[in-house]
Amino acid sequence: MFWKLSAPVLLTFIAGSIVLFNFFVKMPLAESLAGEMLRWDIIVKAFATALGAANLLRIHSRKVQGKDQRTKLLSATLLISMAIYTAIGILKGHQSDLYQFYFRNLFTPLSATMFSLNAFFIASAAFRAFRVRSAQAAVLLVTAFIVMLGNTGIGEAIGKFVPSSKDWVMAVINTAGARGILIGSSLGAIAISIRVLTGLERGHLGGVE
Amino acid sequence: MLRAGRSTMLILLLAYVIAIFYYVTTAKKGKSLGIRRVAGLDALDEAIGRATEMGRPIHYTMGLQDFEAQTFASFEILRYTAAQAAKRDVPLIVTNFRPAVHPVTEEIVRGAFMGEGKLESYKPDNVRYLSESQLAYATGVVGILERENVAANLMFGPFYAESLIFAETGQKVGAIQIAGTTMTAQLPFFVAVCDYTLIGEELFAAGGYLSKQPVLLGTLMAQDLSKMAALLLVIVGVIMRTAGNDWLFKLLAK
Repeated sequence: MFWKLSAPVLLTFIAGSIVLFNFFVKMPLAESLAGEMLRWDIIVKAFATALGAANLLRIHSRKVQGKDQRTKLLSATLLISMAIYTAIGILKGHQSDLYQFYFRNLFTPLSATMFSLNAFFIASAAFRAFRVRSAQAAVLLVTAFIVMLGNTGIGEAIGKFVPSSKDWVMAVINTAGARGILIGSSLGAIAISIRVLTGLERGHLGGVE
Repeated sequence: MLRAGRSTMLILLLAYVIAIFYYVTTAKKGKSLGIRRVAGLDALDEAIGRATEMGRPIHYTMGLQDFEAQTFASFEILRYTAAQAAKRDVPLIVTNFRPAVHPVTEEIVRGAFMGEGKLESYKPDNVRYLSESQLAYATGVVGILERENVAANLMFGPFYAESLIFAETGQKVGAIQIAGTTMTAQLPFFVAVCDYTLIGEELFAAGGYLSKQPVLLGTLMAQDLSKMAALLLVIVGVIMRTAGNDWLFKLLAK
């Protein structure tokens, strides 16, 4: 039980307290300790990346041996591209022309394709959000109409009051709402950090109560 | 020696910590602390129940950050979801973006299944690390939502541009969707598409709300109290600055 519960809580408390102390107090010892903690973080993440790669290999190797033809093909594609890209990275280095060629001509266009889906998704989400089913939805529709119109040339052509109304909505109403959420979120984040630091919150420790 | 500009911040933090421990002690003494209902968290059971009835899996994503406050809040929700999924024999698929978060989610899900006495139902392959590249991860999640035909899509944590991609795909496959984040730029997307959304601080209340532990409920009381204090500071600050007095502004910057 000590290694499963008390040790992680104790380590969290010590590491967290050092970093917190360094945030408020200027002291060379605390500064170097906090810096060291952050370096350890990088090392832990490097090991975690290896674990992540192992997880991918395990799951997709099993899927390649499975019966579902479509999954088999997708998993094989993943494993082959992972092997090729890792080999190029190790043998030629990640700054090499070959590595950069694959990155620019394969990875970047694929990512851009995925990101561009947002354009269509925004339209369908907006359609759902703007259906006037309640007074609140009507307010949303009117506000969105003003903001969208204010962002286009037509808004400017209708009159100067359109872009200035849009600016007012964004600077006053939108900012006030966002900051309200931000203040509440920040206080919540501090509360959960204190709970984790003092061991009151233990959800991250798995099944240990 | 205190760092410049952080003295008031330290005093406010200490006051907050004192308030938290005061309410925790009060809760430990057995005093009942009322807490408002959070529809998004109440709906978790509905989502898991729906997945049970349909015999289709639940998908859970922790968002795109390493260990930060939202991730810790999400761990609590994951633990509850995994325990309920184990109890009802519903497959739970967890997809991870950060490799460091991945082993923790594995341990949480395994622990929850063990806690319910269903360790034999736990499938390690259902807790998956996908990619640390934002859009590659999004592609992986979309593929899983479509191929596995999920009945419930749960998204709790920090999200960015992929939020709408997830939510719209979940909508397309007919999944009941619950999301929670503090990212103000993504909240409108979740509100527009998901069935329930935890807005900002509601996400951080999950631990206490779901576990019903008095100690955690005590910290929620302190959270609410400090919110009132912050609101008061804002109102007083606005009045003072409007009147040309910047004493409070300077005090907070000390």
